[in-house]
Amino acid sequence: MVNILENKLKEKISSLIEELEIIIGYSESKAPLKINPVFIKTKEEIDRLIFNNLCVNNLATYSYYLSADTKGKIGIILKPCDVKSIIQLISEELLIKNKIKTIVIGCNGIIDYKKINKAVNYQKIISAKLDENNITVNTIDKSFNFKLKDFFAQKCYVCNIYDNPPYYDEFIENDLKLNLEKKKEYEDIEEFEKSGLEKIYKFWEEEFNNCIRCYACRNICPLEVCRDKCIAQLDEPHWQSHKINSSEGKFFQLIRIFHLAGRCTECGECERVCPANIELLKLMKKVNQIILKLFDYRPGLILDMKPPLLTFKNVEQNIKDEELI
Amino acid sequence: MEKLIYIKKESLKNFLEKISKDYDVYLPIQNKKNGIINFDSINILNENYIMNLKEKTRQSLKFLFFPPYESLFEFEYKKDIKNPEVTEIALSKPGNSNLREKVIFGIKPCDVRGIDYLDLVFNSGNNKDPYYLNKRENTIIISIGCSIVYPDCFCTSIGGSPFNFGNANIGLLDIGSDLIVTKLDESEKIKKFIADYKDFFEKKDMDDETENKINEIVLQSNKTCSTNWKKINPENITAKMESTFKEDALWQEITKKCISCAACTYVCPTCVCFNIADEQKDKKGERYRCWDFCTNYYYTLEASGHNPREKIYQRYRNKINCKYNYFIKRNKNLYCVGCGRCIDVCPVGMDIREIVSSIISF
Amino acid sequence: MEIVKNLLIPQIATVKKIINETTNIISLQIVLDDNESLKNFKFEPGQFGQISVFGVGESTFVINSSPLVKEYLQFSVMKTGVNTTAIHNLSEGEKVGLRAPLGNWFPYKDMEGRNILFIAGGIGAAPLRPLIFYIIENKNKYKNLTLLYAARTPEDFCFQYDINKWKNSGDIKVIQTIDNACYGWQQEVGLCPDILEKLKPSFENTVAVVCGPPIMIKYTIEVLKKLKFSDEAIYTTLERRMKCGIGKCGRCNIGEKFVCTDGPVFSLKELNKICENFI
Ligand SMILES: Cc1cc2nc3c(=O)[nH]c(=O)nc-3n(C[C@H](O)[C@H](O)[C@H](O)COP(=O)(O)OP(=O)(O)OC[C@H]3O[C@@H](n4cnc5c(N)ncnc54)[C@H](O)[C@@H]3O)c2cc1C
Ligand code: SF4
Ligand code: SF4
Ligand code: SF4
Ligand code: SF4
Ligand code: FES
Repeated sequence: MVNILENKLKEKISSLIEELEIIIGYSESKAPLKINPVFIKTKEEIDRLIFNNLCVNNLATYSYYLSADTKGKIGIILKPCDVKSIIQLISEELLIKNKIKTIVIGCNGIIDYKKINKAVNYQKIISAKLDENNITVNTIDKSFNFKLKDFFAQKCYVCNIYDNPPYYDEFIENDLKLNLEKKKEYEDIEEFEKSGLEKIYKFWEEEFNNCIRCYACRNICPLEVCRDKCIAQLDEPHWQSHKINSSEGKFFQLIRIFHLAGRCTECGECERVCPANIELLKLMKKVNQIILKLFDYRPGLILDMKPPLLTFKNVEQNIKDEELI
Repeated sequence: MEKLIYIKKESLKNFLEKISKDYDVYLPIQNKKNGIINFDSINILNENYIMNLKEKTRQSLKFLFFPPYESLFEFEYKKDIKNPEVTEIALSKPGNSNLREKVIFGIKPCDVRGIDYLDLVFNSGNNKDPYYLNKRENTIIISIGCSIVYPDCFCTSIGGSPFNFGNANIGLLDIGSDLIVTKLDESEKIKKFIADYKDFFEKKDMDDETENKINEIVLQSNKTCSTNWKKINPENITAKMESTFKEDALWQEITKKCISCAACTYVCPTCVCFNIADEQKDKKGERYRCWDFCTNYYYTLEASGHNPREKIYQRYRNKINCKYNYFIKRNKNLYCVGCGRCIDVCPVGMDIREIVSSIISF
Repeated sequence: MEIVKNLLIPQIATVKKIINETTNIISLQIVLDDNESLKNFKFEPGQFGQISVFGVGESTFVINSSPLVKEYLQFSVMKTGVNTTAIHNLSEGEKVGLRAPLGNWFPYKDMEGRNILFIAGGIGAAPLRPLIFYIIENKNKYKNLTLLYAARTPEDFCFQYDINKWKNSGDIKVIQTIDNACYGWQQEVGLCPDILEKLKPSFENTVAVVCGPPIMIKYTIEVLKKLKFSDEAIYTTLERRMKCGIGKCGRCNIGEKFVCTDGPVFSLKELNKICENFI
């Protein structure tokens, strides 16, 4: 049961809290289907911690800035997939391993609330209740009951590290296991590409009409540690216009794509937070698919491996000169 | 007996279509593909874009009057033919584009208030803003009160109410079958509007049943809304903001999870900060303005590298003080209309009510 | 429809003369192209303007010519960033855009009958220059005038031509100081606040006007407080990043004040009422 897991978590944190300056975890939110990141320092606060299928946020987002601001060690509660962001940051030497204690919890899947929003015809959800296999969702005049297994995040359907994190300092095992019908990696991207270039272009055209250039996608990304130095906001060099419109929105994503090629751990945070509901993860995945093909590399899995785009080989096996034109 | 003016719900569609012949009509329209509701032209309605009067729009109305990006003027470097040594500069000012009159239908009272505040900024004092006025003038605002109040609404906490129509020209109340006109401004423009479409504005005597219905709805909405947060008194809150301003540890604590994006600012009906920039290609270029956000590192960064608000907590503190302190001092009003949009879009669950509450209880 | 003046569109002006002040500061003398506007142009000491290099941008500079000079407007520009670099690259005869005058000004009427102590650091002499000109012109209304002017090295003083004139005429007592001693320098050596402390000017019936970089303002004010100057008797000008200059874009706020419309001139008394730090 969920409570058993939460108790294990709290026990673990109690034993660690003395040695850590601050711990980032999940806590309840008043908003339905959401949780709140919480920063705790004392034993008394430990009771605020929760862990359930709604803990979507990737708390690794806070690691870079917080570790720069604290003297001591910080603890972060992570899902096995979130820990990939930490691995990636460490392998890029953006994070110092000894400053972070990764407390990883076994995961049995997380809910994609945009899927639920869709299932209730985008009516505003005013309350929700979660149990082991089902979720009840209430709008202003209706109540819906859904099976959890249909509403997990896309990444859960291809996940194979849910009880076997690639790296951790502490691991808390979850008795509940992820029990989903597996999908093929990048199956959704291949499916999407079948519609042809013209349709794809039209799709993005429409999507980006709504982009308000709020930079939420950039600022929530655990790997975009550049938020206060971003080229998209600079006057010198003035690479990108400050205008807010569809084409600048697309150009901004191009910048993000290049910055994240071979780095993105596909956590899905950018897509989750976009107030314009743009399907940003599709873009990130496409680039990662190419990187996988060229370099046989998946970001965020091996701590002491130099990411391929941070280095070079004299001869790249998978890149053929004649294909480069 | 009091006369009741109302629009029958079943003739609403015809009414809107009719007025769209004479006006540019804007409505809350939901994109069925991604669920987002925004104000848009009636002309885009089709099977994928449908009118939705129930919920708040994702973007506030400021989008229409103060767009995310607009050109201020264009310039061109020109050689003087007689005197080729000299390069002249020609400026072309934006024309008063011959905009048709607008009707904006189905705005919530909180958004009407948002517009009232934009008027305070852009249409008062000596430095009026012609770009804003150009779009804002000749607009008829038809608001519908909130018979449904959602958990993130809190207009009653900050001096509004689900049926306070502010400076809207027409205020409607939805009693299910009909939309009852509960506010009508006295202007000639509106008298003419009502007369022009008199077929749709029906009249009857007020009866007990309707009166009870109206009272019940108003009471219920006010009640629900006021359970969403406590009442905020403008005077007390400024004093509290002043006395806690220098409590850096408090501000650091309550803003720790903020990632300093612009989501909350860009959806807010009252945030109007903007940036100005030039762009040039060959000899021609333009100066434009576009939205900007005070939680952004670059906002106050000076050429010397000095940044008066270097840290997120300092910037967020400015944002909250702008709304719950500075604006009150300048304009006697809280600079927040309680729409709850910022709460809805925040990636990390910052809730302005919780923030202000923790300041009050500090 | 109400006709509203568009305050965001600059007027075209011509750079008539460029003066090299220091290694990284130049002064521009600018004339509005439109004769009518030029004739009617009036400004008060302390007010500023926004200078555009079209295609690059706009930035803020105080008008530092004498308010009594009608032929041109002078601005001094320190090279710090994109737009200031573009301004440094201008030549005489080239066109710029100007939005001026903006902001408030020094309350020189309130200073009548009092001694005035001007304290400038580096480019901070610019906002003081028009005020000094005005006050010297009306010197019978004021008591003793003193200028303490600090710069890093002897080469970093702007307006040396004015200073020489002022020294010779005796209208105003001028004390110059540099950060570190150097060969041939015969005036004060030391940071502005330290020299001020050494000079110990009397606070009685005296107004102090301090302009310069933030850090210098901070420490100078501390010394003035030590010397018993009251908050009402200390004035300064503040800098914040600006865009619109007319109280709309929100960028330049310090607490509830907009530097562009409520400032740039503030008394310490006003500043102390603001919750946000002004430095
Ligand atoms: C009221 C006032 C009077 C001033 N008077 C003078 C003067 O007489 N002489 C002088 O050399 N400098 C003066 N400054 C400072 C001057 O405005 C900046 O140095 C200049 O804007 C830097 O522009 P940039 O484009 O070169 O810098 P960048 O760093 O490239 O800046 C880009 C933009 O940031 C803004 N900005 C950056 N720093 C400042 C700043 N410190 N103040 C205001 N805006 C800034 C400008 O809008 C500029 O367009 C004054 C500033 C203010 C507020
Ligand atoms: S893509 Fe979405 S999150 Fe990113 S800037 Fe645009 S609107 Fe904001
Ligand atoms: S780009 Fe998006 S999916 Fe990839 S790591 Fe960043 S936030 Fe996660
Ligand atoms: S409060 Fe939320 S939406 Fe606003 S800047 Fe912070 S993270 Fe972004
Ligand atoms: S601060 Fe938030 S609740 Fe208040 S008006 Fe802005 S978006 Fe609405
Ligand atoms: S510069 Fe725009 S408000 Fe002051």
